[in-house]
Amino acid sequence: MKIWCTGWKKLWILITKRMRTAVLFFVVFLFLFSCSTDDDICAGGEGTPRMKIKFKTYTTGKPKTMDSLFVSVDYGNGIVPVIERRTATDSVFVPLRVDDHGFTDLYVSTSQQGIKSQIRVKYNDKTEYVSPACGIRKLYENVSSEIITLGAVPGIENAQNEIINENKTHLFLLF
Amino acid sequence: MGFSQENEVQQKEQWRYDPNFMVGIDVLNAGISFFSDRKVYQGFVSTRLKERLHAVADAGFEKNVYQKNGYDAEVNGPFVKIGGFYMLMRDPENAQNGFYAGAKLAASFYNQEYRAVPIRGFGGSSSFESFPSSSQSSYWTEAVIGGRVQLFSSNFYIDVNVQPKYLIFSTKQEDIQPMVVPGFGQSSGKFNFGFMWNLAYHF
Repeated sequence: MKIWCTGWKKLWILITKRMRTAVLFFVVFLFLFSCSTDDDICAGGEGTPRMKIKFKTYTTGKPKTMDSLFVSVDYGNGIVPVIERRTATDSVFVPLRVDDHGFTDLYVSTSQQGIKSQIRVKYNDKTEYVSPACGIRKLYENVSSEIITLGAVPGIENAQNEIINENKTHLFLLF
Repeated sequence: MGFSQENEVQQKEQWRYDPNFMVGIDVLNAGISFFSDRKVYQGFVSTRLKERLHAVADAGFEKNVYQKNGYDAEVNGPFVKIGGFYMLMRDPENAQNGFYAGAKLAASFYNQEYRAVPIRGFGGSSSFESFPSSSQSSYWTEAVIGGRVQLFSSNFYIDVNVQPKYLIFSTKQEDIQPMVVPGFGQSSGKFNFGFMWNLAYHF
């Protein structure tokens, strides 16, 4: 009676030298496939675009570089610090909320403990599928901002009414 | 591989196709199904057409989930595969015993439900969008490389093979790339890898 293992053994013996190369090739092939293609990192700026904010002088309207800037955002779970710049800054990128809240509140100040201005960014959002890794992203239309609480920021200037990429400045803060 | 080995020339002349079938069930994946969210029940029927050429058809059913990176998806449905393989090396005493390689075309017709597709946000503000359940189909091609060996001197065989797969086409719901396809597996990439460990009966 044949033991089933001997069947395999016999088959293995049948493998010629030429076939060994093929088997080796196949093992390499296996390794290539075993590298998972499940790319779970969303990279390359394909995600939801952030709001680009620049600064102007309130009295003259000329571009301004801030010596320091602090921006906190309420994403629905309390206010979290997003930007803490203590060096010269001419623009910042602030991510907005991605849930269907309708607006995002920003809190802007020029120093850590300084008085904060509450700025409400209102928009209509729409969704767009991007890729397996990035999932769905949000695009914002009819964007308009207003100051809720005056503080460090005496005025604002809406620049773009939609946020579909991060190339253009969407909002100017006047200091 | 079909270079003439002298002793086989004689056999070739004698060989003609008689109805012969081997039916197998993938016992390994069926066993794994008891302990996993991925439930695969599949089997095959093959027939020896020519000296070393076999035709093979697979059929199966898979229920699977994809819960990762903010996704929550579930699929279930049947799949079929049709193809052939060539015995590269075989046992001179038993034409069914040997190592083989071949190719298959496969199709899956399934129901999918994406309960969550992630919207990635900042500061823990991630969100998701849900989509209703829908019927979709996917098509792929796969290579098959394996071996078949007789169990003792019975009509039972063990057939083990691996299948590198390449996804050709999928129907999509709202342009969403399917993350999992029955019979194919996780499909965020075009390539995947499958295996079968069959208990087969030859008659």
